[in-house]
Amino acid sequence: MIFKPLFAGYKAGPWGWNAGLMPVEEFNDRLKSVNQEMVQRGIDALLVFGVGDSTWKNGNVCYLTNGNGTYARKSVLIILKGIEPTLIGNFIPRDLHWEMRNSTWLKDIRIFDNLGLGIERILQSSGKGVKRAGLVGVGGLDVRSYAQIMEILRNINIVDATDVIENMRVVKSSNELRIIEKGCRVADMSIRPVTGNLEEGECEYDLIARIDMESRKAGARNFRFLIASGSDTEMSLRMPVHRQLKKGDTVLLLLAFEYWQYWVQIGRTLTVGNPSEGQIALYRGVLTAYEETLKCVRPEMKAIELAEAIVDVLDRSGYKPYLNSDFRFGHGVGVSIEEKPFIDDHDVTQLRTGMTLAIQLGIHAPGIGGVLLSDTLLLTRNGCQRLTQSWYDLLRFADAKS
Amino acid sequence: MKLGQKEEFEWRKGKIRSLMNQNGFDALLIYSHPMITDMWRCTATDMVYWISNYDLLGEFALVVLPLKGEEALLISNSWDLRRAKSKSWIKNVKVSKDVWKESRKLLDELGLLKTRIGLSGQEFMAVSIFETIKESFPDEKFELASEMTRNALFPKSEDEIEIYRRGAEINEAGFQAILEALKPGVTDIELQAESQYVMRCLGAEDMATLIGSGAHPLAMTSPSGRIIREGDMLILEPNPLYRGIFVEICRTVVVGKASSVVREKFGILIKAYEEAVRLMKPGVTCETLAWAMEDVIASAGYAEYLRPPFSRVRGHGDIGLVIEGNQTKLVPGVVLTLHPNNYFPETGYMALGEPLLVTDNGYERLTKMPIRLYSTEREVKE
Repeated sequence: MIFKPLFAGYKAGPWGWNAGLMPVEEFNDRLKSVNQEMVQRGIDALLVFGVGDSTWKNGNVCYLTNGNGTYARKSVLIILKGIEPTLIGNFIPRDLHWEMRNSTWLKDIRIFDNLGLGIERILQSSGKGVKRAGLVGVGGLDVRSYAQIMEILRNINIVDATDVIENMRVVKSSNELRIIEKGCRVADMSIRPVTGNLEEGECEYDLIARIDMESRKAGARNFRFLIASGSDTEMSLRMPVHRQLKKGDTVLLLLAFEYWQYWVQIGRTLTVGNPSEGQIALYRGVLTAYEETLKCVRPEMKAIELAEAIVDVLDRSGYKPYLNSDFRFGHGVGVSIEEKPFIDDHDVTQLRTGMTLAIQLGIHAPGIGGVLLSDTLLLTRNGCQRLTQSWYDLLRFADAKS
Repeated sequence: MKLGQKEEFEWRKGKIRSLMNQNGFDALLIYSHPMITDMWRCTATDMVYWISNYDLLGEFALVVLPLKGEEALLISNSWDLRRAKSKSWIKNVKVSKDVWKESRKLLDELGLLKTRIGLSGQEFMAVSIFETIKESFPDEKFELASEMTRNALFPKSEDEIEIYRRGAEINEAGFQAILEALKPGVTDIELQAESQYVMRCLGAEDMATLIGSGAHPLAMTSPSGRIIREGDMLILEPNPLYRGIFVEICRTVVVGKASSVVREKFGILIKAYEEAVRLMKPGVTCETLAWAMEDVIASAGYAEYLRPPFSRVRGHGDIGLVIEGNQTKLVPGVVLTLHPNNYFPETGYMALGEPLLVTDNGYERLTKMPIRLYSTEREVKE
């Protein structure tokens, strides 16, 4: 099955995919791999579910269709052996399925408000006697749709095949890496006007609004953020509020940008005015730990092993008591803002060369203040390479003044 | 006027409790999920935010509201506890990795486990969450109560109406920012950036900005990086979220001079809008309003463009969609967004609409924005 773009030379803008950045061959390869995996597992049909109104909640469908998940609140990609896949969805507003047609490589897109009915029709009309179906991401469906779909599939042997797609997504291709690297440039560009340029009296809202504007002008289509500012007791991350920045404040920023449907993450710590000695000392301490953390990253280790190694680093530097019970030191980034692997205390996914990880280290506690550092990394054969390259500004700022 | 006071909390809580009383519920679990802290907030108010003033960050939030006794807010992310405590109207805030087990414990302590318990927010729940609930509550059964809870959203309190007014001001500022930046050669993303900058500085918590553009736009879409050209038509919705309420105002802008055809077709929309608001008063059904608008458009000769894929609903609010078949009656204090937005084969899709408050004997506008077709040429002249 070979797909060609419906409109040659169609430039969808950051809203859709761009043929130049993500060639059709790559999508044919992805579908080929899915087909191989289906043969291996003895699955006749693969149903990939997309739920929600954002690309990052529809990662699996976006990844396989070259399409934008925001057009349908619920969609299913039906892959049958030897036939072109069909995407069905309840497109709301319905006129947007025109746009979907323009953004995807798929030809067969149909509107069904009742997904169960749609699946039944497609399976019947294909003429293939489906005995065993693999479901991807069905857990995200709402209860009513789930019940309908299970009723339709009652005579079919069902297996959970979510890992088929998730395992494919974790390691990035050279095309994907090119986009993610550009996304990291967007992140660097967006944060640059802010660093070293914080003014007293500016609101948290203003600060986020500035970054938002910079990022959109640099090409980001979506922007998510968390901020913290103020004294040492106000250092937990949150949405921005109408708080004016005061001299001596520490500001923590955790930002994620979507560029051509791929997410990147960056986190930095800033001060308003010259940092105090206490701030510098804490910052240097955490930065040293953070740099050690980056050295811990090795392919072939498990995610949980990396988390343990980072806890060890924090233990040695004396920051372990400030860890939350539900800490997470990072996660994969890609079509989803957070995807496998998760660097926490229970994910046993093996890290592999070619994965992109957002690593994050935050220490914020009453009595000591706050520091947050985060970067998007590419796992290489020997360790990792930092893709976001913004300088760690607080330190440079402090050095210049002291 | 100071918003978000204790009285507002008591008022909202009282409203939900009286509904619980009417429906025979002894306790209510209100669930919020990040899924609705996104574009979904346009169409569905986050009930946890509404009742507790806590806007969810992280994975779960659950409000346990007994008919009698102290209510509690349960959240799953420990790092957000301090903010939750300072922001929430509910004093009893607890953090737990398993909010469902924790809620069972709370209900048990209150002696409410064997009573009628309602569950609100099920429409946002994934199957996997239902499985978790089954594990945490093996012997209990919940009754679905989302619809009941949503009935607490109207009539609006004075606070909420004030929030609407401020939200409308933010929306207008966002719209003005777009008008100022609008010229051939800019991209719609830049326009979005300008308007979001202004709106965020004014206190918007989130934005679902929609900008459709083109010589012949087909639908409201998110900005796509498209370059605006002379003669384009823009259909705009800055859509800020302010204190948990999305305020949607749609307008149409022509880049350059509006042609007589565009002015004429937009006149149909204005007439449809005026026809609908003329009827707007308590006792009128949503359906009637939809018909009023569609009659005008149909009698102008566009009956075949009234339905998808060309055009959609004529408005929305807490009492449902303004659409054929919705026989819910307006009551004083309801806020309803009316928009006759329609596709015309000569011009493309055009938009006009705003939220309106139903009063005892009519309606009240919540924004001062003029109801007219905008064009960059005219704005320059003024």
